[in-house]
Amino acid sequence: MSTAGAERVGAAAGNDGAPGDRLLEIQNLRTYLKTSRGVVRAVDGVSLELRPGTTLGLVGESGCGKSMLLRSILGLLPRRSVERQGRILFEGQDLLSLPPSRLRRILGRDIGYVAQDPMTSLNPVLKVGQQVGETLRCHYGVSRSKARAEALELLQSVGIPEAERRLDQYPHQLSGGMRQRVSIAAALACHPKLLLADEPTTALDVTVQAQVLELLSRLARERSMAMILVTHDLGVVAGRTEQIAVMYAGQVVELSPTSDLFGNIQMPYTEALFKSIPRLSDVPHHRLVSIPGRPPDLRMQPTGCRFASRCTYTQPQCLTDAPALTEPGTSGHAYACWFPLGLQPEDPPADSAAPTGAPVGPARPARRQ
Amino acid sequence: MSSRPEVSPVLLVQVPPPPPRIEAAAAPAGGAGPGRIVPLWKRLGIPFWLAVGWIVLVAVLAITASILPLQNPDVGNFSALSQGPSAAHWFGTDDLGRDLMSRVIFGSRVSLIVGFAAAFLGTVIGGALGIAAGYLRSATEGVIMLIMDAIISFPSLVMLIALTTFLGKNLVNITGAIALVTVPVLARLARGSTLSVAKRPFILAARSAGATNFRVMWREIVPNVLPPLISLGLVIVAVAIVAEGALSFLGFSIPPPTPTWGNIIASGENDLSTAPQIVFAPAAVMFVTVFAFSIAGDRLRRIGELQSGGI
Repeated sequence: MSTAGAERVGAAAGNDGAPGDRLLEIQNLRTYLKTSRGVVRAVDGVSLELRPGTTLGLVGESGCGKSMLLRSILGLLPRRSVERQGRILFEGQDLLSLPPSRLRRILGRDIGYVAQDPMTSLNPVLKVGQQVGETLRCHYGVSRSKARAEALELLQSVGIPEAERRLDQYPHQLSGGMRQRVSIAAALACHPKLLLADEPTTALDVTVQAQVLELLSRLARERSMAMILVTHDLGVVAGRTEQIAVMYAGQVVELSPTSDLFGNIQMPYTEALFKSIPRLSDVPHHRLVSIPGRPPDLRMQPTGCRFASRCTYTQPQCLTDAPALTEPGTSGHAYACWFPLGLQPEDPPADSAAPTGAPVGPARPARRQ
Repeated sequence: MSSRPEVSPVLLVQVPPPPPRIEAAAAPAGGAGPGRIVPLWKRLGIPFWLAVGWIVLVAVLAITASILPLQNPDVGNFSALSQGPSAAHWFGTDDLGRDLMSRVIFGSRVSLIVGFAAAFLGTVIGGALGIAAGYLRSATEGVIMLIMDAIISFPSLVMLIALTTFLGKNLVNITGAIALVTVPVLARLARGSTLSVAKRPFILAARSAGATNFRVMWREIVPNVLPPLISLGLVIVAVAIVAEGALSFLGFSIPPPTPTWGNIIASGENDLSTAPQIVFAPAAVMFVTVFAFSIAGDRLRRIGELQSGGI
């Protein structure tokens, strides 16, 4: 556990850092979608901070609000049916209150976005070179030839072989991994200070995933660019981030420096996610561990802890009072749990509170050290 | 593949039929399946190229009519009134002794100009309105589509007659009037395509890169919506030619003596039994031309559907 890392993020997570220290500061963000069947609380009181050049991993199951959080930052939600509250400070400017024209000047230039599926996030009828150079032409009005030259350089920097030839190809002529590299190149065209990557490898082949992730971390390092890496795979963010935020049902339930998290998981949800990573050391044909049940309906949040119905350690208090995200120590490790794994009083009886029989082994080691 | 029968004697008995089937299935798949192997021109087929050939022929004749060795379309030969086809007059002559081939060729100018210009205007305006409606949604869409519905629900011939009578029978007004009638059809198509394109993630990607609405529509949506618009546009050329023909037949287009297909047909109406060539020569040329535009547009549309299905 590197103390440097913990200290760095500790400063960012605490209140002692200078405000200019933070590239992005999300304060109590709430994104409510008004639908015909009720209000969906997609993001429900999230606060996060990101320092320049650091990477935050945003982890959680499908439907827990990760993508909605990114879209809220980008302001790309239908304005009439979506209500956003709180503040999203990017370099001191509140993105939520910026008029659309000012926001557009930030998007693409200072904030880049890489979408999940490269099969659909590139325009099928435009050449790759045009799409990569588009952002430059949009923000800096550079000439076609200049944009093309830049696009060539960008394609090379994301490791596309024969970049010159690829410029004049259409997306369907590239493989999935290549396409994702192209969309990364497009997102990086204007040298953004912050890159939002929404599950950038989910749609890719397993063999290519590692390459693309490696590419993203290398580019973030080289360009000292901050990054929010959204994924549902804790394994993905383990070695590539400074800080990890685990989201559940629209809330951050555990926030920790990466170096501190894996040896010291506090929130049962994080533990469950961690256990569901398949391991090479598992016996062949071993049943994959999954979290029983589904995330709660975001329209009707239960009182108490939102994870209570699926948690193996549920206590009566969990069902009545909602735990807040608190940081007991000074390491910057915060979690929202009444009975964190570090201090389970007596867990075996709590097992019976789990509503669905977990297909996991019965005797659960409460903690790992 | 071939090693399988050798594995077990039981399979040997069953396998012989499949191999030829597999070969047969593989050959056309390799030959015609993945788009790039068969060149586009070949996939469009012979009817398409015949249609295009005819359109080009008519267009070239119309453009070069004044330098071609044609007889003056406006001056009649009074010794050869209402004659059938002959070596001197390939299509025959009309009731004033004017050469019908010359009149049909000069008459194609009005038809083609009106046809192309009206279809082009209709495609541009209808396309722009449809894309705006489909992408911006909300009130913009409501207003645009309401106007389109209003235009479509008005009998088009009545509207054309009213407009040309009111504004004056010249090329610009006729073109404009016909374009106006075609706008709603194209706007509906453009809106429909835009609705499906706008949902795709690359639009979100473009917006997340700070593109303005106009930029998203122009750079991302237009290239995707253009192919279906163009193929419908070709069909609309045919429709516009027919509309101009109808107007001119009814006397609401360019007045004689300037020949148009419609007014030649109208002029032969009374002599149909004695001199059918006056009606049939322009009618046949018009029919083939309209048919050619329809075939060309339809072929393009099918190819476009195949391709967008593959992407």
